[in-house]
Amino acid sequence: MRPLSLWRHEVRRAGWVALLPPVLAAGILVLVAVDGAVRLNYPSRGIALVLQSLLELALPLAAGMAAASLVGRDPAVELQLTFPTAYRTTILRRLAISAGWVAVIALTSAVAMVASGWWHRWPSAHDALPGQLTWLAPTLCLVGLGLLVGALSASPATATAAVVAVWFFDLAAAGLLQQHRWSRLLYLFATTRGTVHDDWTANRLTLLAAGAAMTAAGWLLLRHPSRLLTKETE
Amino acid sequence: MTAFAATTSYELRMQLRKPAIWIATVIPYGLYAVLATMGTQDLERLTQDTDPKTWMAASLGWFTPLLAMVFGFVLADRLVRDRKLGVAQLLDVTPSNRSARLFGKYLGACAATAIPVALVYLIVGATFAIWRDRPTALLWAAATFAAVVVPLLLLTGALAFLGPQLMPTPLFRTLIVGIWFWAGATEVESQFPSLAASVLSLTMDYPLHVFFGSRDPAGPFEGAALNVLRPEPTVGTALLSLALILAIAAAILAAARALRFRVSE
Amino acid sequence: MRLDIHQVSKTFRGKVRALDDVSLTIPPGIMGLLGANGAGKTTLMRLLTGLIRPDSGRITIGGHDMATAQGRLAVQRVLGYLPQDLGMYPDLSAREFLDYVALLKGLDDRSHRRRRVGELLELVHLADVGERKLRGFSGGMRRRLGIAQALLNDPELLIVDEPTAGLDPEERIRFRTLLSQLAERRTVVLSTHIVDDVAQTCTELAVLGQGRLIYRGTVADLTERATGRVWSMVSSGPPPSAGTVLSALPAGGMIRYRIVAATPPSADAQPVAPTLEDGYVALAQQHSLTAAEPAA
Repeated sequence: MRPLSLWRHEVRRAGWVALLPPVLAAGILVLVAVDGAVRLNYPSRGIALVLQSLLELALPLAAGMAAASLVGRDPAVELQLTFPTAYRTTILRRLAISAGWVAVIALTSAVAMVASGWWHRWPSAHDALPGQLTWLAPTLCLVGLGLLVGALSASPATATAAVVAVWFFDLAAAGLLQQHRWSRLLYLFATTRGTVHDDWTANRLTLLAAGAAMTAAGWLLLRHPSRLLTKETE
Repeated sequence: MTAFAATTSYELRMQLRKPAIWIATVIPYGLYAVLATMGTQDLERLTQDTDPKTWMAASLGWFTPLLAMVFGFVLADRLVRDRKLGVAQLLDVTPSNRSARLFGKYLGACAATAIPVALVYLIVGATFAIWRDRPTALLWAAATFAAVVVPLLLLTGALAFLGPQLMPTPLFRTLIVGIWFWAGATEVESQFPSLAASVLSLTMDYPLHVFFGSRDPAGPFEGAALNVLRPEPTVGTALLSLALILAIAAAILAAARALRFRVSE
Repeated sequence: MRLDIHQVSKTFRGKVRALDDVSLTIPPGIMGLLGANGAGKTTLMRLLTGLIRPDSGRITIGGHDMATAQGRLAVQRVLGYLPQDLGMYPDLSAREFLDYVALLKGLDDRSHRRRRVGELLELVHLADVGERKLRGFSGGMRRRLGIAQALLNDPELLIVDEPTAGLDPEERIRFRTLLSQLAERRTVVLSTHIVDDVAQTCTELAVLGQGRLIYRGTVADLTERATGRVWSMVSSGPPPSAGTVLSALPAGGMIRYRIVAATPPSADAQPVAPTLEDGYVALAQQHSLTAAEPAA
């Protein structure tokens, strides 16, 4: 186990630009929900949707964008590539920090929702424990996508564009994606935007597998990071 | 060649060489095309529609505005990049007009982002024109592109020129997702304060509804907040919507210009 | 630590042949690597550090085969590298940056690491500014910090690529002196296009030209190559077309030229004693006229 100091340094490498967005997203959406409940008297279903959207939409996107920004932004990459600590290990450490932070916020939010009773006010919500796949599955999927495209392109702009394009496509084409089983299994927002009820578990497991496969592929690609030497640091 | 023309030309070339623009276009439109052609309820409706005007709105017009934000990502680093690369100093000491250079950069970047989308519209319009033997489909493709895509890209481009000057680029990218999600994905029926179905709608609801017969709502909605922004949809209010989007884009670009040159002085 | 480079070639994107069948042995001590911009020096440095792989040929460093992952890792454990384009993290202080690099180099013991960082900051005369953020560092300060990070793991092999770029004369002299001291008990490869850096620090050198090794030998021998080919002349007009002009100094309304040429450039040209720079230029002239010189 490497010293804690190294992890502290990598937290600084991630920086507040990676750590702040999930907090902002959580803060804003919770405020919207509270405002809706207290001042505007919105139906509880709508408020529950906002809270579940934090878990299934906002936090996975933040994690995916953070993962997409890992490769191609390091000004000291030429030095990093000559250290005995493999650069992909450093990338993985940074990924663990940004994705881990999102997981902490997601779990905290989920616990608060369960404790306050808002968890089950969304009709499609599953039991508290398996229900954690609401955020875990799309998070791992988008993180894997961000890392893979980042490793392929060495460009945070390209990788982020890919993550956001897929995220927004799933949002915009919800109806289309529900019409075939294969696309239902890969749909990121099965809990909040709806799916065939019996497909939910298969959908979550498929997303987990896809995310794991893409993360592994990105990891393998980073074995040969010498392409990064010729890239403009973004 | 003037500074404006030179900057536009080179910015266009540099942007088109970046894979991010093409990825941001190919992924969503490609996925959409795959799903649409596999046999869906929407496809059945589309195959029955023979009017090129409504067909363009139904096939692409509703989809593109939701993606305009993706281009904000790609454009986010264009202006601040000059400072990071050390080129800004070099260019600022030339006798060229600085505003002309900034405006040229802006138009070049927006044009580069528009080109892949224009190709999609051209392909879709040509496909319909041949399939239904309706050559006017190409004109309607151009009209939809001009009314829906161009104003949004100009607005997104202006935001991308201002935002990263105020905050780190990754944070701007996060913020733009939130803005577009609120502006584009919240439904007016939900009663949350929303720009949906208003003259400031970033899904171009008024132009789509009035000029292209889109069935998506535009106009006042009972009980909704911000109904003052939802006059009855007419040609006048649709044009007003376009003008407002362009005016906001111009104001944001002016602010970006002021900030850029205030920093360099 | 001895470096053996055997028939190494490297081509980029199928078109740019950066290195062409280079064979070279680098013994312990300090060795200079000279060459014009684009000669292949940085490519060779990156091959030695394991950053990139050759298309053909073999590199062995201290008995470790750089073609294997284990070999590269073994070398990187004892390597100190100062790249030409030295990137740093502007939000870190000098002390924090060294601490971070030390951790990545495997210096896990906290007290040892702190001590080492302190020593190196003193060595490069940056102890007073150790808490300052790197964004406030001048080019010279960044270079000195760069050499400090290269020394963190007390490397057996030190590779420095254009180390004096951007340094003022005093800093340059200090840097060279430091490099010479460091070479007493390690192998140092100094890659540069500044001839004077090599002249002041090395007795052995190699010269690359258009990706090929065109000289391997001593500084004295290369200097000797220019004997009888260096001329001084005074003229009021333009320099002679034959030969290479090394300097043009005002001299009482006229201009005194120093020229490297096979034959006297003018009737009144006087032969002068050569320097290493003259030898380098003479070599470049010979190389462009004849086939490459075999390695010494």
